[in-house]
Amino acid sequence: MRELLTARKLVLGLLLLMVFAAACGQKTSLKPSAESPGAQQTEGSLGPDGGQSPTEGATSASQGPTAGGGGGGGGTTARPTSGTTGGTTGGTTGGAIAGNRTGVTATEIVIGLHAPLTGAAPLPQDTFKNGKGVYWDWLDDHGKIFGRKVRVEFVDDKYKPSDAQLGCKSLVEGKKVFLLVGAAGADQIQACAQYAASVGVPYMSMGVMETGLKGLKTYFASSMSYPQQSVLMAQYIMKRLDGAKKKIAMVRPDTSNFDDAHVAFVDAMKSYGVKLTRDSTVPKDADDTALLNEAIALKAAGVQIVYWLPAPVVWIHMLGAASSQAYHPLWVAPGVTIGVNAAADLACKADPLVKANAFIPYMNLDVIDKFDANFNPAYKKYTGSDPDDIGIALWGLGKVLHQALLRVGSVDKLTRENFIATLERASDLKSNIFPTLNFTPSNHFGAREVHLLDINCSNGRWKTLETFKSGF
Amino acid sequence: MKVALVIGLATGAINGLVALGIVLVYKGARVFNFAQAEFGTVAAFAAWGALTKAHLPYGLAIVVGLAAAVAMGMAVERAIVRPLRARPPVTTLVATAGVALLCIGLELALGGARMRVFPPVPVTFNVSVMGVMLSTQRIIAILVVISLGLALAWFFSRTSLGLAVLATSQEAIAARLAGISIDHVSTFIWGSAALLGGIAGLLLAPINPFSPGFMTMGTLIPAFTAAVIGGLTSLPGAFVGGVLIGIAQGLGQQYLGSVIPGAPSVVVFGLLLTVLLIRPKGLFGAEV
Repeated sequence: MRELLTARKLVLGLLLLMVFAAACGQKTSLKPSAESPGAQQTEGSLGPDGGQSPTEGATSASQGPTAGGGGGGGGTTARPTSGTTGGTTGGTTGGAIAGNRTGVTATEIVIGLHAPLTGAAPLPQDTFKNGKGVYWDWLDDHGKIFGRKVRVEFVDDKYKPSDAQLGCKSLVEGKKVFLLVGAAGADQIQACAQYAASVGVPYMSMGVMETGLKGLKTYFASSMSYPQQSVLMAQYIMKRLDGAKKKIAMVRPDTSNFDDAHVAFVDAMKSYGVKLTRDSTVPKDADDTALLNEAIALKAAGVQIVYWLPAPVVWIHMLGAASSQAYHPLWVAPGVTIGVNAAADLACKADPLVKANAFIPYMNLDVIDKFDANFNPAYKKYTGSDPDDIGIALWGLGKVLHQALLRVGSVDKLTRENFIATLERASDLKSNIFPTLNFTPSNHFGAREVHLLDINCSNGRWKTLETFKSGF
Repeated sequence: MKVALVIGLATGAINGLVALGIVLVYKGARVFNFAQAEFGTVAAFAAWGALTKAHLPYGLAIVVGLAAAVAMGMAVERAIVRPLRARPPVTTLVATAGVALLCIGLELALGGARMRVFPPVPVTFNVSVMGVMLSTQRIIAILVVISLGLALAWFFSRTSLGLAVLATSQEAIAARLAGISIDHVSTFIWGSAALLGGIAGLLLAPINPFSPGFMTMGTLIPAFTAAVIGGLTSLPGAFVGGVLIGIAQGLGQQYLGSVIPGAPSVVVFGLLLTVLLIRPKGLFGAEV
């Protein structure tokens, strides 16, 4: 009896331990909530002039966000830059339409951004904080949008879906943002997008999984989803990496969120007559033991190319496990799974012999000047620090949103409902950084291009090999 | 199966080392120390700073890291544990959890949330055991944890100080009447536990890039589980528990990874429940 009581105490102690671990399981944020308090505006308010600020109507399309010259080189496929018309398309063309105008005031358009400042992402803490407002600050000095400044409210989602959802709720209810943007983290994006859909708030992010996002009226992907990229990845492996003669594996997190990408990749490989040598899962937050097991199994199977879907930090740990077994396959991955410079730097330290290619929605620092000459000087001017690739991602997202907002036509028509209705009929949305977007009411995953990166351990960064690739 | 055994040994050793510290504090002070793993993080950060910022030699940087851990352990004992000695054990338990959270917060405030790379020991060699390559770091971890487990078992059973520690934990007033300084014993226990945690942190940090709180987040739950499985009062049991956890995780991943999400954790939990149902004291526990 006494032993049973003791056992109960031990189980109780372990439960306490789990609660404690949950409390500190993700690193505490230094600044967990939005930074600038900002003026709050109640829904539907347009300011005293009913939406027409003094600057409205002044068109300055010549001051577009894209000034990059064309011209390729170094393996990069450049595209004409004239397709992007930026600047302000101001003016009112008619009476204000009915709808929800939360976040649109006489002077501002407020948007909400969530990203992991802390948590399991390997990103330096300042990357999102520095980059979040650069494009909008630049635009503020170059004509504004509908005569208004765009202000970005930010929350740290701590790389946890629950925090992402709470953070997005605070942005919508507390900061009264017009729309939401997810910068990184598949599960966090899914969680926040579902919340946004439940309250009718437009939401845009880089493409991640489609599970749980497909069919959401308010969700829009600014780049190819994982399933879409998986098909392209199969093509890349077969045509560029001589996949027919290689042993290929896919490793994904053991959550159902990645099943769509898994099915897409397996089916695409089947269509080439190739069966995966190994098709496995690892825990989402896989530890040393799981990764060592997986590395040994991959090596034992003789796998030469690994299509990797788990998070960047897990990849870095995986590289340590694999290199400890003298195993150095070619790693390929979609989205921003591994393709950020911070991950490349750590990857090169974990395994100096690492070989990796990544698909990514935006090009890297090495070629950005060819596509957008404004980025580097703007980043330095508005942050006082050297540009990084996350800055490019946020700049590109800003450009996409800018173009999307302009499609509404005028501030009178800028309601959440009309923005969504306009966006889901928008075609040829060009930012010259992200893929060209073509949405339809039945398809909010409108991207068809990626950029191809190659890891470069001489400087711990990704090198842009090819841009705007829709096929291989 | 053989591979899982070797991986269990390799990865479980460090959990076993953290578990050793937990058992030491529990055995000596009857306190569940939630800050045990954080001693390791502090040691890793201090040694990393000494190595990469102050450019001290590797060996000296390790000493700096261990000294920082021991200093932290002694400070925690003096500032938090000692004033709470007369309070119920749960109060001290919560206080140690607070220490861990405070440390993580300070690490984030001082160094940010980014990951860092700790250079491995300068001498590198690999040994292949049943198809698994064991690096220098892992071999050192295994040897250290076995040696420390045996040394501590000997210390508690064969030395006067070890017996004084046990006497203090079992009957503090009687121990004091016998001339044992409870304060000194307590300082010794916490300093030693912090040293064990520091060693664990310095062994784990070079294996993977590390970040604030990495020991608490990565090793605390497996180490507590290992300590419970081994028997909360058994030092060799802590090592065995650590290895069993590693093996269970390995087998879970190998055989159930594709079937059950989070299979390694499920198997470890199953192992824990089984041990507690069959032998509530743990595999080697003499008393709880």
